[in-house]
Amino acid sequence: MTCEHVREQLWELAIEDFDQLEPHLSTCPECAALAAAIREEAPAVQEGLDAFANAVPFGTAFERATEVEQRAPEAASRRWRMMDQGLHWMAMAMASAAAVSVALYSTVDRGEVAPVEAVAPVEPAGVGGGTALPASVTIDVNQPYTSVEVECRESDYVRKEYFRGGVARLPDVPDEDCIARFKGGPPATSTLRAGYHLVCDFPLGGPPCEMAGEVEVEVDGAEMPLTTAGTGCEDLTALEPSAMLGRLEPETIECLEDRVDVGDEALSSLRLLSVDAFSRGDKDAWEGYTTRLLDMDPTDPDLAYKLALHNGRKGAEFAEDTIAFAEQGLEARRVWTGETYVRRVNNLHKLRASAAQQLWAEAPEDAEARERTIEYAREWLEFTRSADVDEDRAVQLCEVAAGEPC
Amino acid sequence: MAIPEDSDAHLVTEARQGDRAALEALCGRWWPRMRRWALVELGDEVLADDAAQDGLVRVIRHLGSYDPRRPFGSWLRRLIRNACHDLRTKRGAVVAFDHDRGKAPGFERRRDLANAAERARKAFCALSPRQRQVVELVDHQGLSPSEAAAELGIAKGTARALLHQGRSALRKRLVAHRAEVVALLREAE
Repeated sequence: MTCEHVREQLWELAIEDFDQLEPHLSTCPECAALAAAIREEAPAVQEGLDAFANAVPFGTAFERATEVEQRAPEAASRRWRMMDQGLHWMAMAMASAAAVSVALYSTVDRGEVAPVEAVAPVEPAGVGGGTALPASVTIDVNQPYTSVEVECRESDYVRKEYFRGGVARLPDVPDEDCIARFKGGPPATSTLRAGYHLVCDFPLGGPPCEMAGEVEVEVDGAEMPLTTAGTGCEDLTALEPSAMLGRLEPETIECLEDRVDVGDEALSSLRLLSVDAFSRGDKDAWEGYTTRLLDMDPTDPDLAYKLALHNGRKGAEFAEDTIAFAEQGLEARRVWTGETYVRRVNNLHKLRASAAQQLWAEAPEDAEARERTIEYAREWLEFTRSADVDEDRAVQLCEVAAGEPC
Repeated sequence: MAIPEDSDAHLVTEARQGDRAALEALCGRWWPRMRRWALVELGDEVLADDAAQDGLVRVIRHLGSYDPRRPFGSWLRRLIRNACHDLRTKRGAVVAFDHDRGKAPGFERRRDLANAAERARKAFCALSPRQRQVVELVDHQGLSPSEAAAELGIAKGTARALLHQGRSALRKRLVAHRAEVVALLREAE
């Protein structure tokens, strides 16, 4: 084993395994010193993390947290009671089936949001009877608002929810006229009640939102089951509605994961898990499942496209991931046709070039990072010209990186 | 810092019945770990402070939705991840930890850069988020790379690559202040 190889091992190997390098350390003085230094320094990481973990006394944090929650004590108490009675979020899930479906695609597919279909108003169980029910607020993803705060004064209910894919879902909204205040953009308010689905497009001179419908108890004319499709996972088709609502049982999720592990309809099982995770708003799980899906089926440009968009939004730290997924999508781009082809390929070029630029910005002296930015920007520019789409940003990025006209 | 899961279930039951002491005991035993998870996720002490606090509010608010058949720790970790995700989304991309920002309260004021633990934490926070997650799970929580991959929902090969990259980057930062080691390495190269 050469000294260089030993050094490489010392950088990467678990410290417990350093012993196996012992015979070689004596032949490379720098390796012996390095091994000793790593052994001495490594425990400090644990100490540093522990110091942070214990830096804020729990008592102080707990007081702060309970103060926040005490702003809506009745709502909290009622919510917990509902949970204990097994009602969970079922009503909310049924109410927002349509919104969830839209959210599934709108978040990952910005710019291709399906129009939100107004749900035909029906008489929802519980509305009007003073019962708290879920409500949802939908905005176009291009709107600047990041969250909506709902205040129901009679019930002392205050709740802020962030928009995910243009949808904010509010649990247990009291049955009274509540005020919905939009945050993160120009001041805007609307009225919201328990069980309602609010669609907001903020027209000039008009009310910002319309009540698109009350709690939906029927989807496509069929009554929604009050429970999910059991905890088994043999019939994947039967699980689709529950997955769309983010309502797969933990046992079902485990069962599906087992199927994935043993390769039994792994792709279909993973797709269900991915949809369910997205509907639950669990972005980490969604990303994990979708990445695994792409590992299994690298020819699916839709998945690569969604993951590239997802990572692109997470910023410079995820730029390498963005580039990798964008390249994967571009490699399989022939699956798309027409307008979809142009829009998605253009977006992937843009994501890849922008991510490269972010990496270059972090290391301005790195010639390789600059070259990569130029290369991707040029390819993007070539595409915009061949597809006859707006080339301004591609030109700008290319010229900034190249330092000359592109 | 092992926490028995079985007693969590009891505390959850009590807390859901309105027992504040049980709620406090439950949250208190997990609090340091919640803060640590937030730091691993975000790599930024100021943001991690906020995320852990937000996570605590969410525990109190959403305890009713916890399924006692599942490990409480897994549920809690997901909750913290979501709190971190929301914070990241709300505030934009999280920049690498930078101790010179000097805007943090209390904890940062007590910072002593000469302290090895502080320096080591800074080196850890400078890793990429995925590297931090894998290094923490394998080198500090004792999971195997395969188990870490399952925990994070990533391929085993990816986890191993991240582990090697993370360890390497972390160790290079940790030994960077050791002039004698750096000099020897330079000579060797």
